[in-house]
Amino acid sequence: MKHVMRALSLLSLLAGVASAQGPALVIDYHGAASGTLVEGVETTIRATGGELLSLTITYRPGSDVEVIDELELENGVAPWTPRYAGLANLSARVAPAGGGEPAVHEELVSVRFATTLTAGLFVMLGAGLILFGGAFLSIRALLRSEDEE
Amino acid sequence: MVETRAQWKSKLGFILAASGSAIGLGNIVVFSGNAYKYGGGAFYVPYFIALFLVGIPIMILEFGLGGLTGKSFPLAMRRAGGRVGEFAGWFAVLNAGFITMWYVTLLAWVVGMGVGALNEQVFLEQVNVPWVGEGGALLQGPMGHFFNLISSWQPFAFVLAVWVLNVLLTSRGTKTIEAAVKVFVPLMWLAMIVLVVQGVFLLDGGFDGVKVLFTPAMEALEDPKIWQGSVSQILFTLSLGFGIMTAYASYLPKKSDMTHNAVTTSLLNCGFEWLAGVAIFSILFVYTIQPKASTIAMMYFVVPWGIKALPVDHQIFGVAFFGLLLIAGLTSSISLLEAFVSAVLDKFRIARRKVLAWAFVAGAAGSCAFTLPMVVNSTLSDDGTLGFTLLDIFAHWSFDTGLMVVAIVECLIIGWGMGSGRVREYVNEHSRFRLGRWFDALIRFVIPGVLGYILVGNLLSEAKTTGVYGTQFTPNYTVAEGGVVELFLKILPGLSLAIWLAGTVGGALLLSRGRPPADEAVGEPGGEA
Repeated sequence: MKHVMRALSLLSLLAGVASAQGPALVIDYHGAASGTLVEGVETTIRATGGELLSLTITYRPGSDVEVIDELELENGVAPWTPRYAGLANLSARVAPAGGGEPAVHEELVSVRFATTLTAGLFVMLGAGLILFGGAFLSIRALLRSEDEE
Repeated sequence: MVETRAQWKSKLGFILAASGSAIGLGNIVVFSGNAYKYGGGAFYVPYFIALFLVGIPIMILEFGLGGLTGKSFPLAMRRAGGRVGEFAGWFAVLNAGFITMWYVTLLAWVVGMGVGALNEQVFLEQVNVPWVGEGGALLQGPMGHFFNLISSWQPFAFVLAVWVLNVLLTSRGTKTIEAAVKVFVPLMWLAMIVLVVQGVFLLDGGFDGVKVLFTPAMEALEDPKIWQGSVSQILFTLSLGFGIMTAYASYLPKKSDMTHNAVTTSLLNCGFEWLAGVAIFSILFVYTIQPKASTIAMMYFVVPWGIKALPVDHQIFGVAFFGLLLIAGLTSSISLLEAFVSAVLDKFRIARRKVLAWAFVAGAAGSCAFTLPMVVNSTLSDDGTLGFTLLDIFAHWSFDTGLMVVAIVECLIIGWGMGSGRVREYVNEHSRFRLGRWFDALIRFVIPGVLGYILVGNLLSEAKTTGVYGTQFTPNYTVAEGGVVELFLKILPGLSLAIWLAGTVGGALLLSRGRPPADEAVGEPGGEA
């Protein structure tokens, strides 16, 4: 079961552990969305313990429909307005404050929707209706044929 | 002594057994991983097309064959296509035997992880795995516990325990199976509803996670992989190509409405998958955990890590989650075992307890082989241990390849041999919903064509890239260096393929020899012959 059963590679297993060390990324929230990343609402991202050299955002990381954006930096700070809700991976190159080789710092974040009514909601309800509505009608037909017997 | 064939006590019992068979480990963890990988809600477009054009028609075909012939899969296939049909039927049942072996191993690991949840090892921030990397590595709790578990002899005991449960639950055929599913299946639904409530209604942001899961990225539809992925997902999630559904349907009264039975079973299975996606994705999104399109990763690493973050007693939730996996897996594994047992009983009229005893010995030996704890790759770029590597290779042949072959062959043999029209007429006789000639076209042309295209494509791509599956693995641990062990690891992929072929093709040739008993003297699969 290629790609299905296999364990993860060690590198991806250790990614979570590695990211807890070294410089960190700080997200500065603005306006009403304080504390939460929201689609379409601007934030800024900076690094602590070093200088932010570049920042790449990967929306829907690990999927076949990844979208990658390279952010422009302004004085070591990256203004970011999330284009899509969902998971996004921040990949930053950070030069350590004490000198030395720049290191890549990865961080996964969740971006919430700006509105309640979304395409996803309709797909969810539509799929649920087909599956459970269909199952209900089918069971009813089965029980009716049982009565006839 | 000639006895009448066993029957389900009620339609509900049959629906619970059939849907319980279809709902397994894959439903709980794989759907959401696949949906995430293939464009979220966009995945539902090919998924529904595959469900209605491939999944439900094959389900009707397998149910119809069981109802029409009143036999388990090999003998039912004999009716459809003579000796060749019976050979194909035995191939399917023996292939399902291999699947049962590694499936029980997965369940044994589920038990081990459940024990880890109970003593909270699974929820530790970091666990040291001494054999990973150079001098050990600290991995997240679920991963660390899992890799320590599979590199120990402990799973042997769990394998035996799971096999004993399987034998007990099939010991009196439909009687014990029906009794078990009447408890297990409602419990599965209840547990899943609790997870949905926890994820969607009690977590701030959980509903956003659900919307993320279902938000369509329509550009994904341009990629042929999403279409292949959805057809494979439907085929596997509905337990088609195992011979299970034919065996289960053969225990129904002849006048049963097979069309609605098939539709109900399929929709309940996919509905459960929908619900599982809602539950799991809400939790993963809130705690910013990336889903993986991998059974192992989702089941043992990703979801437990999400449970650890929940603002509830994660010990109780963890044990409940692994308990849910265990009962979902058991309702599937007992159906796999019953497909084999009923086939042997039908053909050879041996006492059920003897067949179960043989199945236990052979099955437990196979499952134990998949838990062999010798470390062969300390970087985890492959599967880590010898047992896990074997499991990976055998799962590739029996699951990825074998099931697809069976589905194609059964459509061809029934469609062109017996004639799918005959199954259609039988099914229509007892159903309000009448199948038209389009059903014959699907069975004879469309489904074999689509599945054949996917299968040949997969095999060609594999031949070009890796060669025989498993040869791309790179054992690197000192135990693998030099001598017999190194040689063994080198021949492992070819040897595994040879064993799978000998077990399925060779076994089917042997078992399809000789005439089956006369119709009126078929042994009673539901009880003692």
